[in-house]
Amino acid sequence: MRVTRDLADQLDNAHRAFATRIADLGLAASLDLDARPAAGDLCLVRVTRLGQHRHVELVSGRRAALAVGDELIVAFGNRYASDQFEALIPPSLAECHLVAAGGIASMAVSQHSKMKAPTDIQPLGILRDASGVALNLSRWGWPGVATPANAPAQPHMILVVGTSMNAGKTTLCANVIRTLRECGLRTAALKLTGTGSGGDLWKYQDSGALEAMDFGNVGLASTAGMDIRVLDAAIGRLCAAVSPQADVIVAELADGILQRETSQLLQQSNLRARAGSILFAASDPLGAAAGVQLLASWGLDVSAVGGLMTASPLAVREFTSFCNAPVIYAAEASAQETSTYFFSPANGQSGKKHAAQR
Amino acid sequence: MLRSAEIIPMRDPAQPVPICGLRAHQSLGAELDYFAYIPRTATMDSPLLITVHGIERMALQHAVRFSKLAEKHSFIVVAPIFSKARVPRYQRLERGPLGDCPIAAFELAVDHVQRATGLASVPLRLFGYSGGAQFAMRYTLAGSLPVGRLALAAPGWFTMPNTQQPFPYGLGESPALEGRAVDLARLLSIPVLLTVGAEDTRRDKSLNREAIVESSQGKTRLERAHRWYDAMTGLAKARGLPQMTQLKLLEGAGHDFDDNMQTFGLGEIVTDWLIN
Repeated sequence: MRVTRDLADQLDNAHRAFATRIADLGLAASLDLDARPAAGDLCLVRVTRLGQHRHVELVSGRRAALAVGDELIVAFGNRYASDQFEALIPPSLAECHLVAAGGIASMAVSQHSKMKAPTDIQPLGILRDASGVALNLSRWGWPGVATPANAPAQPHMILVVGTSMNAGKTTLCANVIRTLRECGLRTAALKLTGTGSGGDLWKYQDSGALEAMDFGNVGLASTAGMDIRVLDAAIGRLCAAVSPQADVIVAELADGILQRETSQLLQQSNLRARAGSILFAASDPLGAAAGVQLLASWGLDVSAVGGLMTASPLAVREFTSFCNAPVIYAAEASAQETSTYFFSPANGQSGKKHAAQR
Repeated sequence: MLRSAEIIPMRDPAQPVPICGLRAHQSLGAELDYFAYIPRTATMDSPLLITVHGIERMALQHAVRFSKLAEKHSFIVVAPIFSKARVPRYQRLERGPLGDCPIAAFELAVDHVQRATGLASVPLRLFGYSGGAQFAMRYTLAGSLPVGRLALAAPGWFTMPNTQQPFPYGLGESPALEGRAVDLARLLSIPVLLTVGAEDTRRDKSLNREAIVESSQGKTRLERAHRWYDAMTGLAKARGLPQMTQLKLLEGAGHDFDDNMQTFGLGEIVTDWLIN
């Protein structure tokens, strides 16, 4: 272990990434260059070559421009992003990649063809406390809270899932939050899975959410590759932390429903019981129809469909000619009437379905 | 096959009580859309409380605000939505521009609730707020389904119990009734709670300022509530009937529904009146 006398100054001068926001860096006493990184470990890194990510999102949400030589405080984590990078936590502190602007250090193993090579970073050491224990985000994640049997019912959860990354899930969430606000309700917005980043949370907040939280609040840098039971428990902790002032929970699962963790959560987890209704974001009619059908085969009825597909009236017509799940348009009837689409029965309780031609 | 059934089966035949939680029913036809909240504590004997929104049509807010009380007291909440486009003057029981009848749409929705949940819906336990209170009061006078208990909160104006003024201002003949009988005896015979905020005295733009209303009922919701209460209790006394109408002022309350529910205990008062 190498003790750095000027570590505090070094950390003060580094860009602290959003994914590390819950950590107390005042506990950092040393850097360890010999450790094998684990998910959630905090690491001081130096940018050695600029690639795809030329900015890092700070704790404040500001996107700070990067230059070679800049030092960052990031967290190790896997990444699963079909439109960007697939990345795995490396076995050592050799040079690796900044694979997400929220501040995720990892080793890219595949990438979308439109992506540039990832930005290279050199780990300068994992942060350790005075006892030599690695600083890991899990240290600050909210502890699990056992829910007593007679606990008040949680607010209704509207779960938003989709065909893939960039299918319009977060925009759909934002529209739902706005609509609910117009209906006089307060929403807790949760990003249940994904890679540490503030973008979605800011969008939830801008839409009027009472509060916006993600897996980072329960000590996770990302959720890709996690054991499903551990992830389900983390989601339970996140739900338990929802403000009692919230009337409705709007929760988003990252990526598409075929993605490993998303698929597993939808098929075999406590999340199934938590979800009061499900909205499906699709980028195209076939994806929408297939998604509705696949979820039905898992015993989950979709209350309504939205997402990128709804940008095209022709695509919506194509979908509704085949499937009679309601479609949520960007500009619909009144918020009060639109809101009925969010609460149709899910969990295998079939509802009356029709195209929302309003 | 993706197409699914036409009626929401809120009741799973394998379970003794309806599926709990917040649900919406969407209608393609003449009946109203509605939100329903079924508590975890519901049984097939649970009573049903119908809450009718005001002209801002915050039906979802009504369902959510009553949901915690529903959990505590084991009743089902139904909050219908009167479409602004289809029945813009539902509170007066007026047909909409396309001929939709708010009374018929409401009764079809109640029938749907009954079929979907298997719960007894009549006699109705009916609550209305502001414009919804106007609807609830006039429905009790002119609707087909029996109302067992009625709670009215902060209506902007009333149907006064006299025959000198035409309906909906009074009980006199009016084309608006389309031949329906107005049954004042029914309103006098059931327990009616009228609540209004002691500070509900703002003459906002949503308040009816017609001369016929101002001259006979007063200029504010508070004043109009007193006038109607006095008329109802006076009429009951003159007819030798028991006093079934009560007036309760919410000290400090204005006209905001959410404030009335969350700060001034309106939900508890209404629940106590209609359910307990």
